[in-house]
Amino acid sequence: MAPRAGPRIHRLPQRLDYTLIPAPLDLSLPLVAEKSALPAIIVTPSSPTTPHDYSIAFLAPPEKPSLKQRLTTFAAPLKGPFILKARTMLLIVIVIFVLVCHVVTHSLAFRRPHLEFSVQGTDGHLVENAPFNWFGFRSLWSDEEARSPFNVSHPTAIQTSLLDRASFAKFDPSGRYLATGKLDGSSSIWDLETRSAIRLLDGHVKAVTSVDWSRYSRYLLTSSRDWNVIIWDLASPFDPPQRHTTIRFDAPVVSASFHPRNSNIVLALLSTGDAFVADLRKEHRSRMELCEVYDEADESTKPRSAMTVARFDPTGKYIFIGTAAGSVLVFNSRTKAMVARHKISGAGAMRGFDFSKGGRRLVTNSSDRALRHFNLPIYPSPSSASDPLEYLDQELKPIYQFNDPINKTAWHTMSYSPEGQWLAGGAADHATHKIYIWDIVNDGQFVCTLDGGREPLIHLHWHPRKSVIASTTNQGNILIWHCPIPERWGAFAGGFEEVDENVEYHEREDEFDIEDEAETTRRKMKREEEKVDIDGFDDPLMQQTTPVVAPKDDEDVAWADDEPDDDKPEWKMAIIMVEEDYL
Amino acid sequence: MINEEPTEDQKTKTEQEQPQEAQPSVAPDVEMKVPDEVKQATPQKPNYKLQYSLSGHTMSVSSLKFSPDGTMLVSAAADKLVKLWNAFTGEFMRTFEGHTLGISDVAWSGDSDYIASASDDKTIRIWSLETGSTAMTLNGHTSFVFCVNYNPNSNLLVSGGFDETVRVWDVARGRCLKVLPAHSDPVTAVGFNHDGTLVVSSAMDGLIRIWDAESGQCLKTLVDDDNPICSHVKWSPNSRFVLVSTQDSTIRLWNHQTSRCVKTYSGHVNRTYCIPACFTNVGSKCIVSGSEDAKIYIWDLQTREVLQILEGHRDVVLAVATHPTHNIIASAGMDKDLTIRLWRDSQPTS
Repeated sequence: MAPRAGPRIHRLPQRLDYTLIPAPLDLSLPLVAEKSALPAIIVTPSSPTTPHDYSIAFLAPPEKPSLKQRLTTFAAPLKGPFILKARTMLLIVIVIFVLVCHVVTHSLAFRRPHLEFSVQGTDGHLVENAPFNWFGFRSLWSDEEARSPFNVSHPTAIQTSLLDRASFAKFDPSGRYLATGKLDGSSSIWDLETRSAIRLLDGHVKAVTSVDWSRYSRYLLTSSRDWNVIIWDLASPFDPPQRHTTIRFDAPVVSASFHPRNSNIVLALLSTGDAFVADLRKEHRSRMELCEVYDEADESTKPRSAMTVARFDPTGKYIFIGTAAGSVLVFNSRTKAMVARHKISGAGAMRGFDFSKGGRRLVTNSSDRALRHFNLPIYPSPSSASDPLEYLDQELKPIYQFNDPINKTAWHTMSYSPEGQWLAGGAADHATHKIYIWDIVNDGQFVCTLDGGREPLIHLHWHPRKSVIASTTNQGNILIWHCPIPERWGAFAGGFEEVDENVEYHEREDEFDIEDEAETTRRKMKREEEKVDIDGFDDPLMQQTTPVVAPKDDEDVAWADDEPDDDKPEWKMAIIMVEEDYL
Repeated sequence: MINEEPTEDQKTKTEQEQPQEAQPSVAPDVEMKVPDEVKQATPQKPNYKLQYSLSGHTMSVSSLKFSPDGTMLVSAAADKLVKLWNAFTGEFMRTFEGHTLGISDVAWSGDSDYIASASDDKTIRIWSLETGSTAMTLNGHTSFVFCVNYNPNSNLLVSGGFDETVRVWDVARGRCLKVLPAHSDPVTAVGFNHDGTLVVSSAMDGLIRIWDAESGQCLKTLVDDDNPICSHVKWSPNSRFVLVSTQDSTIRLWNHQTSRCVKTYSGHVNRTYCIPACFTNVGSKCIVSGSEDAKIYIWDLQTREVLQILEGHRDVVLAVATHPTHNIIASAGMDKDLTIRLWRDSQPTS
């Protein structure tokens, strides 16, 4: 009998639940019995010709019912009574309507998920800001400021604490130093890289009320209750450094600051509620008071309200004054003319201001225990205005308002993150040290609270470049908060990369082939032809050294840059060697 | 501490140096023969000539550094001394004495006012140029200190040594701020990048590690396939690359972000000693390194060709340094030849 070439036709049971599997080559081995746990039938043709004619039939697992089948079986008992009655339909429609209404009202009333914080957007801006912002979807493409690689997160943990007797601590514009003011009238400068105090400035006889750094950190200004403002020149290689200038006023100085472009222009606020601009330049030497302008009709009736906050905006073009009556006055720094008056309804007396880096956003702290975040309007340049007494009278509505509805906590200070993405508020709580952080980009959503332990917070300041906060406790210690980077142990092994999740590795076809050495060398040489640039910087941080770029032909900028100070970017603070036991 | 005897430390104008007038007459003749097209295609070759030989050290010179302001050259040697020279005239200025064992490395502070020296007596000394004496002694290393460098702000020092650690120091107070258990063999070089945020270290275990200066965390390890001993590492001026010398007679330029070797320079001999390589700072970009065949090699940064070989030393060239603003190279080496040589390229830079 000639062996047949084609497949053999078996007389198999007419069942479909068998899976035919070709037999192993030699059926005499116990291989099949050992390997297969399933019941198996060896299918043998009646007259086998080759070993390949043997097959093993396994009982196939019962086929899974399709979705349609499952649905029909599930719905089977319902089938009978499921008739669309008018009453049933009506009930269903009502239920759906109620649900829809609930969702709509809920999304309107509580547009942002939050814990105990009520963040009220005013109606006027509600439409303009986030009409269709579901689940923060808008933030995925909006706001270019949020995309900075250096500010992907806010600080979360204490990195270190500096033991001082400070009542506040302020970073310098480069972020390398921290200046503190103390109740005994002295101030210190801390180097954050070595975490040690490098200078002690002792010049006041009463408490220091504020400090300010010049543009490139060469000059430091301290204001005090002893009626003086002292400007220190840190370029002098002595400890304590030389006094550059002392400016004396007629009352305790509440706060003072440098003009952002020229440290020879100083703004000071006195405890009497008056604000002065002292110009120390030879050509412009003057001391001018900033006076609020009133309409003729009001002048007799309205008592003059005391000024409680005074700050230059980051461009230096305007001076922002907060008053006890709850309004924000804007003055031009050059002409000292009032440019605008903003009434903030319900705010009470102003307590503090902070500006975002570009100066377009302002946050105010006021006696009604709320922080208000504003977008500032563009002010008309004073040269175009015909009447010097003309000013913009406009009520400013907050974009966001942050307060604590439960504890009614007041705020000591608040500070924007460098890119304006976050706002940190220091709670004026008598028993805790709490920093609240809100996400400005994501509709002012409350993000988290940082708990700094038992010593209550009295001041905080956000680092000008990094995700770092310095908060001062009432004991005078300064806590430095940072955003810790997780340690990657894979970094210790060269050529290895740590992955967060397991990845199935697909070996390349030629991965372990032995390559022609000459060929690899040639390829390597070819690759090395590529030019390298060892000098150029592409680091955005390197270009950030000039804080605010203003147009050249601007009259206000030209005024401020006239007779510049000796504060140059290449200036460096000298290192003073101290023996450890001497301290 | 100022050495009053000018006879011991002196510069000698070498015979090799030709009178200044004679040079221009020779140079144009050579260039005339080169066709114009070829001249434009090939980069201007460096033409360093020996200018001064400075003698003063009595044992091998281990390190040379030009001050950041370019006026001075500091040398450190196995004879426990640090010597200061005028970078332009080669005049001897001063000796700093104090270390009890040989010195391996020196570094300048950014204001050129202080010098830090790393010694086998396990200490780092900071010398004040103003007073001429030790301003600070940093104790902490448990074995020889081999390398030292300032950060750009000069308030921190980083050092490495035979105790296999990298240490970060507070310069003002002489405190050790961090001890990084960095390597499993002696650390041969450490350095801060241009903004002081990163530290690179290399060691005899063949690894180059990049560290976060603030937290002390290891960020990356660069390793070559055959793991040769790393003898020196240096950041490129923009900190995008590190220049690594290894004891397989090769210098490599690594892009530390992509962990890829982008350039390989070879031709010199380096099998035994830790010989540093450096970038030229003026004119066309070159790599300069000493060699164990007593020569100094200059490569083109981009083409990797050897552009010039400086001959003259009689022993292994252990130390080279490039001037920050002029075409000057300083070199020195092992104790058969105790001179420090200053080489100058006087042709105008294009």
